[in-house]
Amino acid sequence: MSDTNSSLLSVAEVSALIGKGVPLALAGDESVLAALPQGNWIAGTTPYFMTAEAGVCDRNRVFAQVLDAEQVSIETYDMESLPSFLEDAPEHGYSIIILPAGSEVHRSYAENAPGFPEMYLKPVVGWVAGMHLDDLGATTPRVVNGLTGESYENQAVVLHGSLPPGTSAIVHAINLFEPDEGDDIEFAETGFSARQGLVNGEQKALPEYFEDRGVDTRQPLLADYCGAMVNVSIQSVDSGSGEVQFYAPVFRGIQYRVAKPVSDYPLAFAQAMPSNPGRIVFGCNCILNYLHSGLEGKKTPGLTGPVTFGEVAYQLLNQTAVFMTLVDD
Amino acid sequence: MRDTEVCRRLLGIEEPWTINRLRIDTQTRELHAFVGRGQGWLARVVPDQPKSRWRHSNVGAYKAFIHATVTDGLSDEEKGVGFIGRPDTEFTTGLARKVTDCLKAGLRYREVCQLLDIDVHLAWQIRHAIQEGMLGTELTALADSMGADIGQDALPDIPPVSDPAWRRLLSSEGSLNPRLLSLRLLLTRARQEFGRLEDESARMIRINEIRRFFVKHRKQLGYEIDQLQSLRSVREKETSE
Repeated sequence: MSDTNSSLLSVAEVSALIGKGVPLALAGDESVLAALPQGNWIAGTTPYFMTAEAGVCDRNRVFAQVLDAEQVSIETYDMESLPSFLEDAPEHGYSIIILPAGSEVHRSYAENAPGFPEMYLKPVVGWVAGMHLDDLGATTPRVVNGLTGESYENQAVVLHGSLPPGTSAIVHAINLFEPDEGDDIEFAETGFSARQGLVNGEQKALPEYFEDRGVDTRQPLLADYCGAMVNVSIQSVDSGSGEVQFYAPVFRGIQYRVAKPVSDYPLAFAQAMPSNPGRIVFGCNCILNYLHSGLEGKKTPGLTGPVTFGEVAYQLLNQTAVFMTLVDD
Repeated sequence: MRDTEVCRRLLGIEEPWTINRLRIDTQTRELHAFVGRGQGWLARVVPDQPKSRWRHSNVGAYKAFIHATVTDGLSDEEKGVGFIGRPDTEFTTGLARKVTDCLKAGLRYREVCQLLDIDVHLAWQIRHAIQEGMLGTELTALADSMGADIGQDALPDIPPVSDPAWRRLLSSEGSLNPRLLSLRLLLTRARQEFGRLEDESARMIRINEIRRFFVKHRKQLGYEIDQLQSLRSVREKETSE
């Protein structure tokens, strides 16, 4: 976010905000989140952040986003209750969801959220919690329900906020990638991996196809959703197993193309970010943008927030910056 | 007595239907009852199974809404209960009956809408349903007086569910250039499903859903609503030719 409603704070500073009863969306290393008092907050683990000054990795501080809401409720959802989470959302407000990376709820949300009741009718943003990349395999991403102080590795935590009449929440996504002029790719099944793809209508083994084309796996696959470009990032291409793994599911019936590279992410971001976006209450950006575009030490002008292992703007996105604004009707 | 059981009785919900979950929104003064014909595993949300939402008669100062999935396995009699509605409506049969009862008792339509806390969008839907004979052909004459009473100025710029503009929009024949991310995603999903749906009820639920989006976000959708008008006029032009 571009205003003082979001910043990287010490545990003492965040504790003071919690003590005032302010609703908060927090992000930080597991150890610092565990030191916070109970209150109106939700959190997920990540030590990477885009601050107003630059992208940083910090295990000792907490990124706090101060939310604007008349009333707040905080809920935790497991695999059974997750599909109905938006039925708990207020009619006039928004929801912020945090999911632990690699969990069943993460997978379920990624694959099924477009079909959840009330999806797209009520604003929902959020992110996928992760970990320090040095700790891959050693620690597990977690989310925290601040009301109870409990943390979870296989449940989603959601803050539902209601807004006063005359104010609405609008969800935005900034995707700097554009599709190349190459092949159309379709998949027979929805899922996080695929062996085969229909390339311009012809069935092909995906690892061979990607290797033959010399696809740079740092570029996501892109799909056009009525003008909104939605990314699916490539995790790995394995000729041995014959499988391509993705960070989000590819969907059956959707046409994809490989994205063109983005040469200067901070510059392109500055050009894509609206000059006057309105009152931003939540923001986040993807770890793959942070890594592939070298955002550590660089700014993404106008937008701050946790660096995440997946972004939620209604459905799960990859390699995208997401933010939510409040507008007067 | 449990809250759900109290509400079941207040809303007139009859067994084997039960309230599986209740949500009370104190800010908007809305009561949402999620009902089903079973509990526990049977009542869970099944993704991609369309769920309808109908406005029902108020409970005290709270607007009541019923959410349910109505499957084709139900008989016409089972689908005709007052606490649910048709897939192409946003109101329960019980609420529509209450409107006609008030009209027959001599109230003007505007007064009925005030009494039952019905907004102009819903008022026009109910009028349209009565006009089409949903509650019996003997009541269709009431519809004319209802229209005059609401006034032409109140005619919503968002078409009713029966307007072909929605089918054109969802069948991809009608182009729309949405600006809101939510509408772009919703439209993509709805178009994908609409082509595959063979059941007319399921199609009507999807039309209702996208119409509800337009009603709910009307103030942000001036540009898109203008485009909807052109989808309506294209159809009218085609018909006249």
